[in-house]
Amino acid sequence: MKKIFILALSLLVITQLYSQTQGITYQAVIVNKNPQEIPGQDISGNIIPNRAIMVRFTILDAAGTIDYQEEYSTTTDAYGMINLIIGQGTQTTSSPKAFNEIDWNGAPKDLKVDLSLSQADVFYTDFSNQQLNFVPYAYHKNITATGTLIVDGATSLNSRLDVKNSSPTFLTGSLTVDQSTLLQKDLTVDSISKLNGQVTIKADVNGDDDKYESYPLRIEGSNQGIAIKVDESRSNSNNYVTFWDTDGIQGRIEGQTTVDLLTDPEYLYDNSVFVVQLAVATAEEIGAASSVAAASASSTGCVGLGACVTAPIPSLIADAIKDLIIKSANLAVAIAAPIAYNVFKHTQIGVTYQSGAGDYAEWLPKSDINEKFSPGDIVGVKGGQISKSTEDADHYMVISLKPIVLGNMPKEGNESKSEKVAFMGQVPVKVFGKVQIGDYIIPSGSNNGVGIGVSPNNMQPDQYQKIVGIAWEANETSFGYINVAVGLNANDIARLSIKQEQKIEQQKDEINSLKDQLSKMNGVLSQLLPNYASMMNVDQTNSIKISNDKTLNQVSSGIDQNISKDVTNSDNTIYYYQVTTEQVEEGILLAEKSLKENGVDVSKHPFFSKMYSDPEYKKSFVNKIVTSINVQIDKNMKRDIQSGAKVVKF
Amino acid sequence: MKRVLISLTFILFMLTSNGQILYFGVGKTFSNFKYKDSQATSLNHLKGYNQPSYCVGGRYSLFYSPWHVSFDAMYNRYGAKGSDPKLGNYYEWDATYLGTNLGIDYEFFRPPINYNEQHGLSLFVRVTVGADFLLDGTQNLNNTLTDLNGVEEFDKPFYFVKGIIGVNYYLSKTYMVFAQYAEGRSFLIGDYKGKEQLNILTHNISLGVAINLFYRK
Repeated sequence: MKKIFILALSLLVITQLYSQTQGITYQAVIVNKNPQEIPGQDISGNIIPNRAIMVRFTILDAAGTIDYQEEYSTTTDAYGMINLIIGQGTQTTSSPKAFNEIDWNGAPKDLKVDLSLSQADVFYTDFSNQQLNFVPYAYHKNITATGTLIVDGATSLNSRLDVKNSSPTFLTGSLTVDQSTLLQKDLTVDSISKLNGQVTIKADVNGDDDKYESYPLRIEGSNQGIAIKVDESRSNSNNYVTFWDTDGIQGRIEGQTTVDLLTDPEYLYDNSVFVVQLAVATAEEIGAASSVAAASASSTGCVGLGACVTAPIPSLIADAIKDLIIKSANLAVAIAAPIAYNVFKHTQIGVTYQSGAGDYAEWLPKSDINEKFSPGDIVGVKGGQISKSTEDADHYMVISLKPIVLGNMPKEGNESKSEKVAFMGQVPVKVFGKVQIGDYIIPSGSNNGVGIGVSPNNMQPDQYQKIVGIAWEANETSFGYINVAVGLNANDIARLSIKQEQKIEQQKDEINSLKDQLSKMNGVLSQLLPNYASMMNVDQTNSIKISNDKTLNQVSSGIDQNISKDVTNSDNTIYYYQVTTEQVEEGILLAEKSLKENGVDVSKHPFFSKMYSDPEYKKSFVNKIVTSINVQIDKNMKRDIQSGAKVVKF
Repeated sequence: MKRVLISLTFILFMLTSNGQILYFGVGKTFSNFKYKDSQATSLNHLKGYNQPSYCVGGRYSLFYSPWHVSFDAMYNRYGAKGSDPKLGNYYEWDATYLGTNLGIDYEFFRPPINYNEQHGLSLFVRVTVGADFLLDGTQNLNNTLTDLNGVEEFDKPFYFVKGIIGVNYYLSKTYMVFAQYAEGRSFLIGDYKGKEQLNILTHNISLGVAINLFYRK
């Protein structure tokens, strides 16, 4: 064999990572290492074209140990060039691992190239041995860069990116993450944060409810708390906050609309009460107008006096007009109150708090801190302290089970000294014995926290102050819990008051009638009996004048005759007097005086304040009263005429 | 220095020559290289050079016979050029040599002298041996010129053997003109096995004038 060509390589190594293949592109022009001999100066650097050769690549680690070795059979082209991909050759038996198993761990690695100029008689000669720099393996897998990695262009990572050794990561630009993001440690955002998707906070921070650290979501750092803005206008289908637990929805804070208000049970109840009050006030006003009409008739003056003509008693008319004025004022208030209430409620539409819990409650201190209470216990409140002993209690209330709102929270550590007491709403109450829906629940009197039901028809006056609430649920057993509405019983007292007032008015009319009779009698007796007036201290200014100056005997006989006549031969004539505007205005003054005597601040009374501030209203009201009375008089006259009586109107 | 020495030797020879005939000629020399590298591989496809040549010498008759001994000096330019398209190489050599030759010739048909006059044609055949010494030279390798002085293959004596055939025309017994064709080949002296071997093949045609110094005297 001739002297073997010793070749040198002029290497141009370009590396590139192919997405489909792995390897390092190797391109080289093979030139004649020894010069070509010609006469004179020899030619150096001749290429070796179209030569079938063998190339062997060896990747050595820092210690010079073979990491990988492969060989190629190839042929140089017309320019002496070969193009190979290191990693796709034939792995030699000396290679301890495959190419894709090379650990590019950042330690220096060398690429050794051997060349055989014959494929038949393979004899490798050292080609080159050079250190692989960044370029060959930067694009390969398992890159371990010991220095700083700076990429000026766009970087595409087709697999995961791990930043280890607790090394911080800084992004000066925006970060867009297309997939879900898992942060296993604290997240601190020093600027405004917008979360456009649903946010779930699931923190395992269970603990006592009075510990700040027990709550998954804590808002701090501002003098404001949480602002919640829902889309669209408020509606009960737009919940600002909904409370869930494992049993489902337990409550919500939702928007309230006019429709919601009109279907609100409390609102409906309040308006029904207004209707009742308006009906009562209307009936009372009509009754008062009838009283004025009756007082303006003279029929009473003729009782026992035969054909005498008696004038109506002015004091009776004025008193009746006074009552009419007061009743009219009450009616005006009864009309104005629901209007004001509805205006207020409609302007206050906003947010509704909904909860499975049914009452508003407050913490109230125990009278005896050792006394035990359980939800549903009826307690007596005395001086703001609660006890199961209901004797001499100021108020009668119930221990709440789960209030929707709980006020007057005691200081930390003092919870055992207080209990949650329902003020208003629905609350389960312990009862004993049969209870019908609508029964009043009052303490049983056994001081054991248990109540009994009493039908409204069987209520005794002294029981009204002990009302705990109204049963909204029946109890058929000897003992049980029933749903009771508490805090709604103020109108029950009002109903009792109305009843009693009606009775008082009835009795008052009877007394006035008696006083009228007695006044007439005193007037007659004063004229008939000497010294009678002085003895009885009778005011004769408005006394009835006896016609024809009859003697006492004559009068007496006349009375007797008239009585007999009244019984047997009555004149049967009734006189009615027209009520004037002056009389009504006088009645207004009397009504004002009466209210003042009863401690009413007339200046703040809605009716009287409007009466004095609006002359047109006063004039209209007076005319209305005059018309109302005269209409009633006309009704009475018709009724009397129909009954066959003779009627005279003045 | 070597070049100066050779030039002085030639001039001294000319001035001290005491030959019967002194001649000088001008001609054209076609030269080519015959080369084998150290692997004994020939360098083919070389094209020779055609360059002018000059010579001057003396010729001495041996005992007035047709045999003559000659000694001359020649100024020659040898060269060749070639290329290798496969490798993309181009090479060219152009070298100037001063040669010295010692020869012997036999003259046929020399015209006789009549009435002290000599006219007519004669033919001669000559064989010379000599050596050529490099005066100057360049090598063009891929358009890069290098000096051949000091280059082993060129800056050494080329030993030549030349065969010459020519015609003399006697203008008189003193002057004659001649034309000759000479073919020469260099040869190597020494052990060149495993070494590069460069030889020069030459073809020369010259016209010249000769002066019979003997008769002039």
